[in-house]
Amino acid sequence: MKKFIYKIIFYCFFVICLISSLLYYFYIKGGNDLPAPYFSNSISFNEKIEFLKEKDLLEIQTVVIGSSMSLNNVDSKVMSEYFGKTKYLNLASWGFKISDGKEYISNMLKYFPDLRLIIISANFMDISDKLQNITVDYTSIDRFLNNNLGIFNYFAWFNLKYYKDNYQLNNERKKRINTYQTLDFDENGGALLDIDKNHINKLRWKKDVTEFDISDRELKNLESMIELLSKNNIRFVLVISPQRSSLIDSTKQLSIDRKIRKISSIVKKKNSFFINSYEKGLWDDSLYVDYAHFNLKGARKFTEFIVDELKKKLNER
Amino acid sequence: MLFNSIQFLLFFSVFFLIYWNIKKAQLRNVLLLTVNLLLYSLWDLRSFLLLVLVVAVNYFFIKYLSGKNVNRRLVFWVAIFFNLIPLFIFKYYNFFVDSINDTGNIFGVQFNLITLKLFLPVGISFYTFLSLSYIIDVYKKQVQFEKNFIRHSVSLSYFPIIMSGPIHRPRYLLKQLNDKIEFNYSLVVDGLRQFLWGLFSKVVIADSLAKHVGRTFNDYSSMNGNSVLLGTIYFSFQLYFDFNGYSNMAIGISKMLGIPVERNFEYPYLSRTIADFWKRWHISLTRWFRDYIFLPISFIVSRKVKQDSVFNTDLMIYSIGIIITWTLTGLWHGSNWTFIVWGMIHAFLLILNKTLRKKKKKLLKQLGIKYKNNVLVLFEGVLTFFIVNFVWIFFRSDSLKTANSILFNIFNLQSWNSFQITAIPLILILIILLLEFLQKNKNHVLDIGNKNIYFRWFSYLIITMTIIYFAGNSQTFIYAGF
Repeated sequence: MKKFIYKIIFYCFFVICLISSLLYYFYIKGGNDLPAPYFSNSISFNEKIEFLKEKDLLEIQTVVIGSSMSLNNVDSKVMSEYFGKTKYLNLASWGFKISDGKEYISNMLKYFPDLRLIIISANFMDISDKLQNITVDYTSIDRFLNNNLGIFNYFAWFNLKYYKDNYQLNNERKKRINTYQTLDFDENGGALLDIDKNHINKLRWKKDVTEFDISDRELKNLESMIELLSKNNIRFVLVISPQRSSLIDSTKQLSIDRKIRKISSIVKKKNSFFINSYEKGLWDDSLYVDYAHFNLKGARKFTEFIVDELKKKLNER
Repeated sequence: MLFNSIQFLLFFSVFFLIYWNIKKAQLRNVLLLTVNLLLYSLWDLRSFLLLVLVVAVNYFFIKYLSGKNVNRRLVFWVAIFFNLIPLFIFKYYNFFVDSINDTGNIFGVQFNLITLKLFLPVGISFYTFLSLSYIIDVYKKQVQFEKNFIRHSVSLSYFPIIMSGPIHRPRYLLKQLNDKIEFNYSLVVDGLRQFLWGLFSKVVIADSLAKHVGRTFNDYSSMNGNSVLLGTIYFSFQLYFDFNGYSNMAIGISKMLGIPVERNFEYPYLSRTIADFWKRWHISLTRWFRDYIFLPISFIVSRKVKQDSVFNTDLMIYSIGIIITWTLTGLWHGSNWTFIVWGMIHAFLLILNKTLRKKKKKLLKQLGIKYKNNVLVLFEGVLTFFIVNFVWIFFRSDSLKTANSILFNIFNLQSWNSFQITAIPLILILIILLLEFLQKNKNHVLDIGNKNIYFRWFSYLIITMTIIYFAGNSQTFIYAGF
């Protein structure tokens, strides 16, 4: 038995040394390209949590959460002019559905004691069952936000494949120009898409969000999220982010209207507002970098629209 | 604590050292029972209470069954009933209620039977089958009542196998626990190798395929036929590497404790026929159904049906036995019509296989083709794989409608175009299948004790490093849900 134990100890020691050396090498070499620790299966979400650690959350009164419809379409400059630079944050990340948002709020509300308003900019995909939920370990986020572990973060949230894959991709993601996958957050956490006409991806350009059915499960989550926020005296705004005009014909318009009626019936119930951007008319193709993501001009126009609508709705109350 | 978690590995290392340092068999069994219950309670406390109840009450049932001056037949049926009740309530009650309500609706009758909010106790299908086999074996006097309560309890709650098998029946386990267990270096090392291979199968292969499979079964309507087909092939391998991975880990752990348990897989995707496939896939379950359902039913049918009846032919008796057995096998896997249909398709395929077996032999003889002809072996192997693959679609789909849509999508050849999911994992799968083929006479792929020392240690290191590299994405075991 002793022979077996010695062999195992020697082998484990060798493997641990090998892994530690590799991790240390990447940690030293990685610098800014090193991905955020593995809190979830979404690199975008993880990077946003790392971004959050650097911010003073006590002052924050308004946040935007949601998917890329919030991350890429909401202009931080316009928002911070209205809400105040130190009082607003964009916490959105890729593929973040309504149900993910509900989980996020229930777990993260404690970090924002002065929060007054939560805005979600979403399209039908974010309220459908087609996308899978993001798997998040909120306990590890608590540990991360409350401690400073340095390299030990990478041992604590051990996932070599994730670090290796994202280490290679992060170099590209920290760029802002001509990339759809930018994670180069501005001061308030937004990441607008700055893509010139020659770099527009044809496949993305042709996609269509009207194909996605609204899910009852997501609507239930929306309802309970509004309930939770209402209990905490936090106002909620859901903005439907529009898709480009050429993709919409009369049949699709009917389908859009039907879906919007379904969503708005839930949102208008409690301490919350619903903003239907399609009411403003159609949004010209020249404002987009694909089917639903705005370019710089589009994001500014869209955010100004949100702020104008908010002013109106807040004054009405 | 799952076998593929770091917590389990650390826990098991400590347990292993204590276990082998205890010399007294009785004390070792007490430790084993403590660990069984501790690990099980960590999964779910409510399930734990149910398990304790089942184990304790079964002790008394079996005691009465083996006693004299008792109505053994009555005790036997009460014991069977007692074990099936929790399985029925927790696993099937809502399914039957929904099915009755739905059937009523079709005929315009409102039953309005109420469904219950129930949890599914961990491993209930597995430990119920262990208990049933123990009761039946004692009733048939094939095994004696184990008076020692500790050993009795260990045999029904043995932690390596309780969650997802193999269904290593108490009649074998009790015998092993009664024998003197001593540290056997070769067995322990082989166990560790088998565990390592299981972990590799699960973490590196099955979990890597999970995202492609998830996408295929969630988003099949927007994918072209060939991509959906590829996704379903990935599912066949995900299921295999997940479950076989778990079984190898369970068997490996048990070997490390000096208690070898029965094999659960024997390279099933190298099978030539459906019958052959079911001799190699989830062997312990197939044998359980054979011994406790198929053979008794066939025996009863052959006795009850008149000699001159059209039903009294080998094929008829076999067919009746197979249809009942496979409907129950389907139901065992889950409370959904998809599983029942999956089981019934396999029953049909097995009957077809039996019907055509003699004709196939005759045809091969006429054509002058030997049974071991390489081209024939390959053709039959590929054909069997694809048949099994198509039937797995029912197993994985959430409804019969989804399964039909997926099949329709695959066979809509006009939709075939460039692949929408990567085909790269196929290369890894083919390499693993080649390794399985080369090791087909061994218990597991990493059974390399006879190779030279450099090859062995280099293999361990490569496999360990690959597991560590992929470890962060590990997921739960598919069969844990059954």
